[in-house]
Amino acid sequence: MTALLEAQDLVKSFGGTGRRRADRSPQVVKGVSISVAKGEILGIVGETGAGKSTVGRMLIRLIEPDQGTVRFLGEDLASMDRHELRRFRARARMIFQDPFSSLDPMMAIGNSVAESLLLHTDLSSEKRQERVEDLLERVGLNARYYARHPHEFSGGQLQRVAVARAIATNPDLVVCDEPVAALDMSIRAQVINLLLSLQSELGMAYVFISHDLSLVGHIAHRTAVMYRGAIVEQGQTEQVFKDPQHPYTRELLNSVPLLDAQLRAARSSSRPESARVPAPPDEGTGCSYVGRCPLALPLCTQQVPQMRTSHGAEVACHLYPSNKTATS
Amino acid sequence: MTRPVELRHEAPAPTPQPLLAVEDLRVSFGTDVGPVTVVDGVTFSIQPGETLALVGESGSGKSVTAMAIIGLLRHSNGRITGGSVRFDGRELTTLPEKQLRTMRGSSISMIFQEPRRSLDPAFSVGSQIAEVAARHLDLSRRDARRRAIEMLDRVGIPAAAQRFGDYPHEFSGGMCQRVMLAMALVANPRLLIADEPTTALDVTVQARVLRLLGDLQQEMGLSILLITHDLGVVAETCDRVAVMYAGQIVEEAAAETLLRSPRHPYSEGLLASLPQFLDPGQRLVAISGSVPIPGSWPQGCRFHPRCDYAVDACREAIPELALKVDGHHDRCFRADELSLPGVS
Repeated sequence: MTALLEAQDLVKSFGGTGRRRADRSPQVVKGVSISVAKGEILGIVGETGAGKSTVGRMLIRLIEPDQGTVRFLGEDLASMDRHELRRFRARARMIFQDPFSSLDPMMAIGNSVAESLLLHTDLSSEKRQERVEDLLERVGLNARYYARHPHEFSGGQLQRVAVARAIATNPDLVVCDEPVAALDMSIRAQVINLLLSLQSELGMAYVFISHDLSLVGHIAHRTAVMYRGAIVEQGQTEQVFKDPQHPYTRELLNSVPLLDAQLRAARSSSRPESARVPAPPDEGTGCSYVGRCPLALPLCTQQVPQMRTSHGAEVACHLYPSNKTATS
Repeated sequence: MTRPVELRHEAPAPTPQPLLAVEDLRVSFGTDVGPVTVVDGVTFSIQPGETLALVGESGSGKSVTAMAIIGLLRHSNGRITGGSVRFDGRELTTLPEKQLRTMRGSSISMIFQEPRRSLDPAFSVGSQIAEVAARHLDLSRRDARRRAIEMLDRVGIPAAAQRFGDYPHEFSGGMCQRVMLAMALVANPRLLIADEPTTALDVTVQARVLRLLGDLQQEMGLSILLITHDLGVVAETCDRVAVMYAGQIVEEAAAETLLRSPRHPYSEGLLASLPQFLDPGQRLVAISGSVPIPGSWPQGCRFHPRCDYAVDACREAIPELALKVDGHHDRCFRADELSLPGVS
């Protein structure tokens, strides 16, 4: 598989103006390497503050990494000039969680979609309108909605508008940051189905960021699990979900509420004593999960684990023997 | 020693009195275009020590139902327009505000989705808990403080005594929810209303908070009304579940029963739309259309425009919520003939 997008050792910190640590800005992303193949759905899962959204935004240069590189079809995003970056923006798009805040409330939704065509294509205004109407139909909205404003729509419909806007320029990659988290239960499946069918028709790649493990397990080809700014495990989705290697991945999967009584009973024995508050994160030199890890070794407090291969997945954990080729 | 036991057996089994009995509750809100009904004839009850889930999407009326029970609608433009709410046999809808205020916290407590917004940022968490303890348990300052620390400890806050003076911003989301629980339970209420208590929390934190809630319930014999949209949470924590749609309960049963064999097409649709692990690329089974907003509910069964099984009768009249099979209520004309799949 050709890598569409390849990120190496991304590092990002924010601020540094906090009262308590005026001199130290905490790293939000600590050396993330990740790649997306053409037409692939890559899931990124993790909890609040894990750095998922920051990584997603760095991948399409909505924020600049402090260190590390992102290459799109071999070309370094940081070295792109204004024109190249604009061309890149047509090919790599983003869908945000809340369509109410990602769409301009004063602008007709048709114009919101047309805007990206105006920026990235030289279609005449009639052709643009035609194309927008076509896009609206394609995402399951009526073309007559062109002149309506965001407040006239439900959240699910607006997210369809956001999808139409994202695919308007026939992108190669769409970063979807929690695209259904703000939607009602019965609407989520509709939007997910729309994303899936567009992906198979148009062959785009998705970076699908979500805290919802069942959802990522359902749609992603590959999954990366993030914890406190680093990827702790990545691999084929089936591999990661069926045979999780990293203790954090196991904890995450064990925490998902299950509908099935038998599955629930099967795992209740393997569950940690959950009512207890986990130890606060250790800001020391070792693995960032060590304070919560039931299997921690002495080495875990001393050394940050590097990525290694175990059972076909890449995992950053000292429980597995390291090998030098894993991160190459 | 056998005699008293025998005597007890001879007496007719008393029907257990529910702790909370909501009957035909109706709530409407004043709007520019006149009053709009949001809760339309909701009936359910909760036994002592039981957990009932109220499941629904936004606009279904589940949170408004909770607010009506605890008497918080008086502070909005919402109004109870009919029905009754009985707590331990006592009618709450007509209770004067002063008495209701005494009940809130001491008999019925409530926790919300955003714990940080429910705590006052300008006071230490300990003092906020102690204030509730002092008011409802009639304790001295010192005893209230001791009781607050005890409670913080009980909800699993490490080094509770040291953290008494910390402010809400010094706690994480999960810890704030624990603080809220400590405050809600400090005066030994008998009913806890928890409105999406773990929705804003991460999944590992959610698992811990739910486990804690279960432990506290056992210790204190609490009844819980859990409002949620997450059927997984229902499966893990609740005895019974009532599904709400467009202001009405459309199905009610034991949680296990409803999940395994739903009788209302809406419940079935919700269950089917949940992504299952490891089914990559498969389309999800989606319910078509969108949730109708209050004020524009359709004629007939409110779910019929989105229902795959709708027939003419469904467009004409609203089905009653009726007990049709053992312990299982549904509001569907076709429930008996349909055999709907649930969780396998």
